[in-house]
Amino acid sequence: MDRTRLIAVGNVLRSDDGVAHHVLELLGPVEGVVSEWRTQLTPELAVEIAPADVVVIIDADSHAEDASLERIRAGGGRGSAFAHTLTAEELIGLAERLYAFHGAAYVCHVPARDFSTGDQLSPIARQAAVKAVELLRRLPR
Amino acid sequence: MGERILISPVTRIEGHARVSVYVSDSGEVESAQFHVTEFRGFEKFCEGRPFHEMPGLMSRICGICPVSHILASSKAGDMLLGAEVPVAAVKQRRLVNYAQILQSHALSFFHLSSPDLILGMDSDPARRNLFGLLDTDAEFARRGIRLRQFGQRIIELTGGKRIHPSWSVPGGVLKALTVKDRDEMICWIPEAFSTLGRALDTLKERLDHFREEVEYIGRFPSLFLGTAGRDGGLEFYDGVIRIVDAEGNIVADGLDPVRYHTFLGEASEEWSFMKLPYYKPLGYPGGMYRVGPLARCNIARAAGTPGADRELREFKQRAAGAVCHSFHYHLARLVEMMHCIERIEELMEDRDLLGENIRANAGLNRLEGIGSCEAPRGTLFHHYHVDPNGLLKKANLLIATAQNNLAINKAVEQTARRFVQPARLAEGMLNRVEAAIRCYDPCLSCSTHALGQMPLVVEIRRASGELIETVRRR
Repeated sequence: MDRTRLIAVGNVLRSDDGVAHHVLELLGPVEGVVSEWRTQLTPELAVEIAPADVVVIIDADSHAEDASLERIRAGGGRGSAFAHTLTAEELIGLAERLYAFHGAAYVCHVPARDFSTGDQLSPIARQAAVKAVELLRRLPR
Repeated sequence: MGERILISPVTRIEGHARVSVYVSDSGEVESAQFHVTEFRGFEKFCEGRPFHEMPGLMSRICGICPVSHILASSKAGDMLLGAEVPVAAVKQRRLVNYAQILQSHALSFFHLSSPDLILGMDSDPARRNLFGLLDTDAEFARRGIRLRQFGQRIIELTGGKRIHPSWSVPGGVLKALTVKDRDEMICWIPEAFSTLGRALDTLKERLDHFREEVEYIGRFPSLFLGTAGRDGGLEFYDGVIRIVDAEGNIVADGLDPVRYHTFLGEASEEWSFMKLPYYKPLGYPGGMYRVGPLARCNIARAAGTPGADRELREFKQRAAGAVCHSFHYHLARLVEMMHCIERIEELMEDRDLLGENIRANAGLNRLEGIGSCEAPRGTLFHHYHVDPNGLLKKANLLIATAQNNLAINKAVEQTARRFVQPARLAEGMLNRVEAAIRCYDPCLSCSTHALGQMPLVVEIRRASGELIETVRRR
C-alpha cells in the first residue's frame, strides 16, 4: 500500500495559485508515494487519505517568505462556515473522526505572490517550488 | 425612522452575498433584499476564443457543477457543428450529468443543510456544521460523504477528473468508457440506495419538527420552469421546457430551449450583480419563476423510475397544486437523487454506454449555437455567436441560480418578516433567513460567473438606508 499521500491544492489558471501543481511535476513519481492535484480540499478526500501514514497538503501561501513544512493537527470546524471546501486541519479532523486516520499530517507552504489569471509562475513561486521539492524528498516514508 | 438589518456573509452557500433587512419606525421588518456582491464577467472573458475550447473554459466557472457547464457548452458546440452526436457519447453525457446532480445534491443535503435539519435552527452556531453533525450522528455524515464520493468517482472514471473534466466536446466525447471502469461504478450502487433510503426516512421524520419553517420560509405562489421529457417525465439532459403555475396548471409546454430568449427576459437591478430573469409574457417582476429540484418535481408528470416515482407521488401530495414551499427543495433533492441512482443503474446495463464511436467529425456549420441542460440548481443555457473562423463573438449564459434570484429575494423577505424581531435580534432568527437562501442551494460563483466562496453579511438599516447594525458570518 502507498503510505505517503501528497495533495497539491490550487488553480493552475490563477498563476502562483497553481504552484503546488508545479511542485508535484518537479518531484516526479516516487515509489510508495501517491500524488494528486486538487482545486480545493473536499470532504470525500477524508476517505482517501485515511489509510496513509503521512499526508502532505501542498498549497500556495501568500504570506510565506520561504517554503516550509508545518506539522498540523486535526481541526474541529470553523463555526458555521462549513461550506464547499475544507481547511487542511478540517480535512485531517474528518479523516481522524470518521475514518480512523492516525498518520502524520503536514502542510507544505509554498510562497506565492501573483494570483491573477494566467498559467505562469512568478520568480518567487518558481524558486520556492524547488525548495519545496527538497523538503518533500526529505520526508520520512 | 426605519432600520435595516444586514446579514453578511451568508454561510454554507457558494459565493459572496449580503442580506439587507429594512426595519420600520415601529420596529417591524418592512422588506428584505438578497444582494450578490461579486462580479467576474465570464462571458467577456471568453470572447475571441475558439468555440471548441468553450466546454473546457466554461467548466472553470464552477468547482461544484462544472459538468453542467461542460454539457450545456458542448451542446451549444454540437449545434454550431450541426452534427448528430453518437449515441455512446450521449449516454456518457447523461451518465455524468446524473452523477453530477447526485454529488451536488449530496453536498447540499448532507453537508450544508443537515446541520439545520438535524441539530436545529437555534442550536449553537459554533456546532451547527458538519463537525457538530459528527457528534450527533457520525454514520449519517459518513454515508453522506460516501454518496458524494460515488458521484465524483463516476465523473472521474468517465471524464478523467472529478472536478473540471474536459472530456465532453462539441460533437461528442473524447474517451470511450471501459468495462473495468463501468464495473467499478456498479459496485457502489447498493450502498448509494441504502444511504438515500436512510436520508429520506430522516428528512421525512425531521419535517415534523419544522412545521413553522415549512410554512413560512419561502412559501409563496410562483411559476415553475424546467426541462421535461417528450412524455412529460423528469429529464435532465435533453427535452422541452415546461412551465406550471402555483396551482399546478401547465402555463406553457413543449417550448424549445433553443428559443429561450423568446420567452425569458433578463432584468437587472443596481443592488445586485446577479441578473433577474423572468417569464416574458408576465413581465418583470410578475414573471417570477423558480427552477431546480422543486420546479422539476412540480413540472414532471412522473419520474420514470420506480423508486423516484413512488417518492414523487408522495411529494406531490404535500400540496393541492404545485408544491410552493421553498423548504421542500430539500425533499425534492432527495427524490432526484433517487432518480439519478436508478438511472445510473439502468445505464450500467446499457451496452451503448461502452460504444467506441464517440465523436462526430464535422466543421463549423452555423454561426449561432445554444445548449441547455438541467444543472443541479436548475435549467442552464449557454448561447454563443461565433465568426466564420469559429471564434467567439458573444456569449450569454443564463444560470440556474440567477433564475431563482427573484424567488430567493421573495423567500428572504417572507422569512425576515416572520422570524426576525429587530428589537431582540437572535442568531437563530438570522439563521432562518440564511436557511431560506440555502433551500435554493445558490451557487453565486456560477450565477455571476465569479470566483469565490460565499460568506454573507446581514445589515440592519433604517428605511432611510442608515446602517444600524451589521452581523458578519464567516
